[in-house]
Amino acid sequence: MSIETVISLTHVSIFQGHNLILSDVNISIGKGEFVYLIGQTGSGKSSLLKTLYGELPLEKGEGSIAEINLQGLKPAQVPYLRRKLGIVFQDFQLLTDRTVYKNLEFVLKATGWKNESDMKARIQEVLELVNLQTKDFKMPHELSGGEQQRVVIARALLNHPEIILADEPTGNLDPKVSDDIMNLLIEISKKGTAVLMATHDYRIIQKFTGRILRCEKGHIEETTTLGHF
Amino acid sequence: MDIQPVKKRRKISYLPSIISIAMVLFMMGLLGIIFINASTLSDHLRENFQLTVFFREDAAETEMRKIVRQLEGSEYTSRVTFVGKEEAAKEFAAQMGQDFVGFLGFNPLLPSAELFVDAAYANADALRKIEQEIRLKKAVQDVVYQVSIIDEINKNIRTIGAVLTGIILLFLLIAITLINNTIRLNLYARRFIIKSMQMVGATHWFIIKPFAIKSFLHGLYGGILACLLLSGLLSWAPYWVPEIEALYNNSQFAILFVVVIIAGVMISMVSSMLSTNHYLKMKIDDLY
Repeated sequence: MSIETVISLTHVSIFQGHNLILSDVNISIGKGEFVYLIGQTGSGKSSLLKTLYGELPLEKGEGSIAEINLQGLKPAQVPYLRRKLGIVFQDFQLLTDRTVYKNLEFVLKATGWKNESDMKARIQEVLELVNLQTKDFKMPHELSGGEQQRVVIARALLNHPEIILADEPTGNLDPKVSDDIMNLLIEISKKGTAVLMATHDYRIIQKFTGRILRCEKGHIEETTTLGHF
Repeated sequence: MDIQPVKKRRKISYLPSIISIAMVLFMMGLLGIIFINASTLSDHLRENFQLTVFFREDAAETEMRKIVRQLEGSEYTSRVTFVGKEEAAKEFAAQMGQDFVGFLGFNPLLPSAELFVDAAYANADALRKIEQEIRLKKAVQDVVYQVSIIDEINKNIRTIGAVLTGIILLFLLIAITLINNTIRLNLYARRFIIKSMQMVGATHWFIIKPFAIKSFLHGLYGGILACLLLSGLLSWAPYWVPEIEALYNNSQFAILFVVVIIAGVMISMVSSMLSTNHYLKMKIDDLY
């Protein structure tokens, strides 16, 4: 395990409303690690990620992500937590009413960037990383699914996050495009940004190696085999 | 090349909401105008209500003048004019277009005073008291006024006033509901965008701000549009009903326009901020 810890959860219980979803969760993820979160639909993968990005409150146990304590996190602090993370969704969550460039610009403006030319340079930089530098004027609906997901990854990278949380990022994509996205995410993790990716895509886990955390029967365990999954 | 048509489309999509705001405000303003005209009309009618006091044929000029002065000093009087025998004959002749005094050989008209009462005393009870008081004077032969008209006017004014106030309140409620619904629908369509903004670390205020500014402008445009329609209507109405111009009260119309614009901006902004906040507080799973 790496020396620098990006995510640390000890004895955490996760609730969705009043329902206990996961109990006694103990996870530690270091800088630059690539970690899969696997499990069947409804096993609590998304709930865990939601807790990590502040959509669900951490009600029991101790947890921190990117040096921010998740316990007693106030709603007003959530935006500042999210600025230290990059989040990638299965359904992209792009701002569908504006161009790719404006999507990325929105994030920068929302997170306190002021200088137009700095913003332009940073947007150019992340778009080059995902190989979309020529499509910044497109509306999201004019892009393919794979391209949209690359925009989402570019958006996640804007503020140099310590970790990327990806919730089934390849869930809506075909195998070829999924592989492209996976290569991109693995490259990002090699540059020092940890990636925690929820998936139930057996093929991907076999093809691209990484640490595996399995969600099952209300618990999370480290595993090396895919077993009956 | 691709950006151009998109921009166009977006601008147009806000137009229906501005128009619906304008329509609702127009209806509200229209009632406001009717209300202003009605109250101007009622004051007008009441203040122009007059009693005619006829003096005796043989009453002394000094006596009559004294009574007029007394009337002028009374609290119920708005104004009094004395019409002497000759004056009355001249007026009557002008109306008839014929020199009837020459024709008759004498002037049959009585000297009189026209008493205009204050609007507050323009009701049957008060008028009866005034009448009795004046009749006590020796020089007075008769006091004439149309009691049925004043009663009718007062009754109608009360009914119309109550009905108008009720309708205005109802319309205000409808205006708030309709504008609120229009804006909520607009924001409902953008609920996922609002949520996505939150996901990338934007603060609540940062997200609300552009919606607040936009709704401020929409309310303002809607209000201005409504006022343009209203003033168009005001300047056209006299062509259809020429008498209506006498009831116009421009300073009150100006206040009404300001109220209409402020109402548009306030209703639009408050509902937009409330709805945005509503979606910001919702969990993402509840949005579907």
